[in-house]
Formats: sequence, structure tokens, C-alpha cells
Amino acid sequence: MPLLGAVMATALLANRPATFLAIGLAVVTDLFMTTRSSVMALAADTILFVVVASVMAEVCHRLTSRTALLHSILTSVPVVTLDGEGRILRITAPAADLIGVAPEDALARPFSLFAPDFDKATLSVVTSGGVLTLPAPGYWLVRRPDGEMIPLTIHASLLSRSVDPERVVLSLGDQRQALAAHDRMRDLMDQLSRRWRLNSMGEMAATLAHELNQPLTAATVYLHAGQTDIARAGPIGDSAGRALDLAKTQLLRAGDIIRRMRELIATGAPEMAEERVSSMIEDLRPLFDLIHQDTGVTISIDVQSFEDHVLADRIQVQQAIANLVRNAVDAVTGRDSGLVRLAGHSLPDMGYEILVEDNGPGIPEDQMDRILQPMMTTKAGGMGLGLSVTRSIVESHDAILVVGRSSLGGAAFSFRLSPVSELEVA
Amino acid sequence: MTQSSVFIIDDDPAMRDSLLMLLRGEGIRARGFASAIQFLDAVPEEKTACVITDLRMPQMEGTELIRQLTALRGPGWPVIVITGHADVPLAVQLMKAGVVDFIEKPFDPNRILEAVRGCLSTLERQGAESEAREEAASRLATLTPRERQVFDALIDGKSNKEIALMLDISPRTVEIFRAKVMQKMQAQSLSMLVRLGLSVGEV
Repeated sequence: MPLLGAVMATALLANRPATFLAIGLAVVTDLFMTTRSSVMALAADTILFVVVASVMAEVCHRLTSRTALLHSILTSVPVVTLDGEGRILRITAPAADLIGVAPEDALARPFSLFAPDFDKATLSVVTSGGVLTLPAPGYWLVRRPDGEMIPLTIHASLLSRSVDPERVVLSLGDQRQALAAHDRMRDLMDQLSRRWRLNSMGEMAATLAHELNQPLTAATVYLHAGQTDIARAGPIGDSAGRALDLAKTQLLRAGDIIRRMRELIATGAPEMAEERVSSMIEDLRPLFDLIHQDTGVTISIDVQSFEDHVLADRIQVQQAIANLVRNAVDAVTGRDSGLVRLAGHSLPDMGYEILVEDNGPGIPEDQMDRILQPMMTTKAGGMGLGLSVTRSIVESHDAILVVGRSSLGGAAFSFRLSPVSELEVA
Repeated sequence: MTQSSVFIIDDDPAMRDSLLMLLRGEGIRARGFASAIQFLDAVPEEKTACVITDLRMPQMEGTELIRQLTALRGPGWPVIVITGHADVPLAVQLMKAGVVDFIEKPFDPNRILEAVRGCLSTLERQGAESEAREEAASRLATLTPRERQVFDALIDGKSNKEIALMLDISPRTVEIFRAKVMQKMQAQSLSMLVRLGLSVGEV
């Protein structure tokens, strides 16, 4: 029987052939060292020993290989184990790498030294089985010795029937790439919304200028007509005529102020460059994803990505496309199975056509003419600038914003961008 | 001849009304139209007129109206554009389309009066020229074939002798025909006769 121990030790340390060799040796030793009453008893004992030893050996083997597997998994992911006081007991190489220290330097030091937000209070939440709440920025920050701050996700689990003294296992996740992608998207959104504000202001100024210029001009002309009449009255009308003249001058001054304001805010000529439509739209995908999350409207994108080199002001065109998609989404929000389709394809010799359509109610026939005018809106909360800004952008690209009915049942808006010829591309 | 009319096309009633008042106050005949569509639905008969139009109007934009007007009446209807949105490319485009003047709102009323007067006097000059042309043509039509031959030869710069030889008649007879031609064409001198000939394009 003591030989069973030797077999198990072999099984723990070595592989299968070695184990069976150990079993064989044990059986032989047993035969020589002990006397048995009969051959039958000897055979039974031997078989029993071999079976028991093999089973024990297999169990030991499985255990060791499972531990080895777990070990290799754990060393490949960032994991830290802490004791009840929050001190680091074990740290895998990837985790040490994230924190920016050598594994042996991290051992026995409090984890909060590296992640200041993960303090005693947080630890006690974990050890009492509570749920971790993320700190303010939406992720944990780790301060590396070189001063760099690294954003992390931390998944904590409690070892309840503990392999004392280890109490808590923390699995860390590097958030740098996710955050960088998020930053890039936020940059684009910022840029779009800044441009949108500028465009809206320009459009507002243009509208204001147009709307105010009409009455101002009419008033000036009325005054002049009155002046002509008064001049016929002779010297009696002189003073009144002068007053009318002064009033006229003031009206013209008001007109000048409006014109200057308009010039100040004017968005200026578009900055044309060679762009690829597919790439411009690809940039907008995160925005469309957000819109989809908010509204549940499906936005299908069907954009031909060859022969799509056009001359365009990238941000402006993105703005125009985003406006059209937003409008289309607004038109179908709240309807069952709202669908918006953004399509693009090149037309031989005629540029690249971009189309946005939806399966909403469409534009009433009597509003088709007015829909592109500023201050014209069918939306309760709208200012009526969106389509007007979009139209201005499209027209600044020497194109026309075409309004029509979609085969999906709703409205369709399209415009064509001028192609960049193959020669210029090459 | 009477002075041509001015047509004002603007969707803003006050704009239209004030311009009518201004022009009529100056003794210029003027009529207003609320939209390009309204104007094109019943195009006035006048052969010559000065058209003042806004650019941004609902239903049909001014640029499209100008295109149709040019096709319809050509130089007989010069167009003055008034607009609140003015930029260089637009101005170039309009000038190419044959617009004679381009005024940005708000404008000094004197500015539009000048433009209209310029327009009307051009029309008047053209009108006087074409009237003279028509008059000369109608006088020319009263000539007999023989007289016409003498007329053609005269403005061709031929002498009485040459004409007599060419038409195989006596110089005396040429004298008689020549006097008749001068009388029918109401020409006091040979140079005036030549001018009349030029105006009807017979040279």
C-alpha cells in the first residue's frame, strides 16, 4: 500500500508512460516483498492494485494538466489577485505590463497604489459581495510610474471559500484603443456640429438679410416717391423733403449693416479637394449607429465604393448627407419598421449620385416647392434651416438638390457630385 | 412713338407697390406681377418693355424666368434684376444670360430710376431706328420696277451717264426717273438717299 503514494507522486510529476512504469515496478516489488496465501489471492490483489493505481494516477494527471491549462490562460490575460487588505498577491505578466512595473515589484504592494480610485472602500464593496460602480469618467485610471494614465475596465470576483489568503481576483481590460476610437468619433461629431452651427448662422443671416431687405427696400422706395411728390409742392415742402431724405439714408444704412453681418458669417467658398464618397460615408457610420440606437430606425447603407472619386468639401458634404439622413429618420421615427436608405453610385460621365430616401409619409405635393426654402418646416420643433443649409451646401458644389418621391413610399433627396477624372486620379 | 412700359415681377407686395409708385411718379408707365408664373400665363403684348424682376421667388426662380423671357422677346425686353443675395458668380451668370443691370437690395431709389431710364432710352433709340427702317422700306415699296433699278444704281454710286448706258435709256430719261425716286423716297439730297438705302440694308 505505501507504494500507491509513490505512483501518485509520479503521476503528479510526470506523464502517462512514466506513471504506468511506476505501476509496473510497484506490482513487481509487491510480488517479491509480500507472501500471499494463494495464487488466486495474489492475482486478485495485483489486479486490484493496478486498477486503483491507474485510476488514482489518471485523476492526478487530469488535475495537473487542468492546473497547467488554467495557468497558461491566466498568464496570457491581465489578472491580479489581492488579499483582504488589497495587497497584490499575484500578478500576471500582461497585468504588470499594463501597470508599467515588473511583476516582482508589484507583489505585496497595495493595488490602490497603482489605481488610486480602487481604494479600501471599493475593496470592501467587493469583499462584501456588492457590485462595483465605475468612477466618474466611465473607466478606471491606472497611474504608471512613468506618469502615463491608462484607462481600464476592472472585473472583480470574490473567492468565497478562499484559498486563503487570496480574497479577490481582478481581471483588467485595456481601454486605450476603445477610447481612441471614441475620441476620433467625438472629434468628427464636434467638427460636424461646429460646421452645422456656422452653416445655420450663415443661413439664418442670409434669410434675415433677404426677409429684412424686402421691407427696407420698399420703405426706401416709398420715401423716394413721396419725396418726388413733395418736391412739386415747391419751397413749402423743402423741410419735409429733407426729413424724408434723412429717413432714406438711415434705411440704407440698416441695409448696409445687414449686408456686412452676412459677409462676416458667410461660410465662404467650399474647400474643394479630391475625396472618396465611400470614405466620407464610412466616417459617418458611428453617427448612424447612434441614431439607430436612439430611434430604432434601420439605416441601410448601399454605397458603391469604386469610381467614387469626387471633387468635394469633405466636411460640408458629410454635413449635407448627415442632415438628409437625420431628416429621413425624423420622418419615419415612431412608425413601424421605419427604414432609411443611403445609396450612392457613379453615373458614367455624370458624376456620383448620392440618394437618401425613406418609407415615411413623403412630402405633400403642395409643399414640394417650398420645402427647400429657409424658415419652412413641417416639424414641430424644427427651425426650418436643415434642408435650406443642405441645399446651400449642395449648390456650392455646383449641384442641385433634387426632391422627389421614393420607391420606398416616402421622400427621396438626391444630388450629384462632379467626378475627378481618372487622369487626375493617377 | 410712345415710351415703353416697365413690368415689375416681385412676390413681395410692398416691393411691387412701392416701385410702381416710384416709376409712375416719374411719369413712367408700369405694371406689377406677383410671380413669374402669373407673368408668363398672360404675357403682355408689348413688343418692347423693360422688365424688373426679383431672383428668389417661390414656384419659379428669376433665373428661369430670364431664360424664358430671352427666348420669348430677346433684346426687345431688357431685364433688370433686383436681389438680396448678390455674389460674383451669380452676377457673371446673369450678365451672360443677357441681364442689362443687376441691383442689390436695399438700393438707393435713384439707382433703379437711372437703370430704368437707361433701359427705356435704349429701347427708344432702337425703336426710332427700327421705325425709320420701316418707313424707308415702305417708301421703297412704292417705287416702280424701273425706278427701283435707278435707285439701286444710284446708291451703288453710278453716274447718270452710266445708268443711261446700263439701262439703255437716254440720260434725260434717267434725270426724270431720278427726280421721281428722290420725291417718292422723300430724300432732299443724294447723300440722304444713300442713308435711306443703308438703313433698309439694300446695299
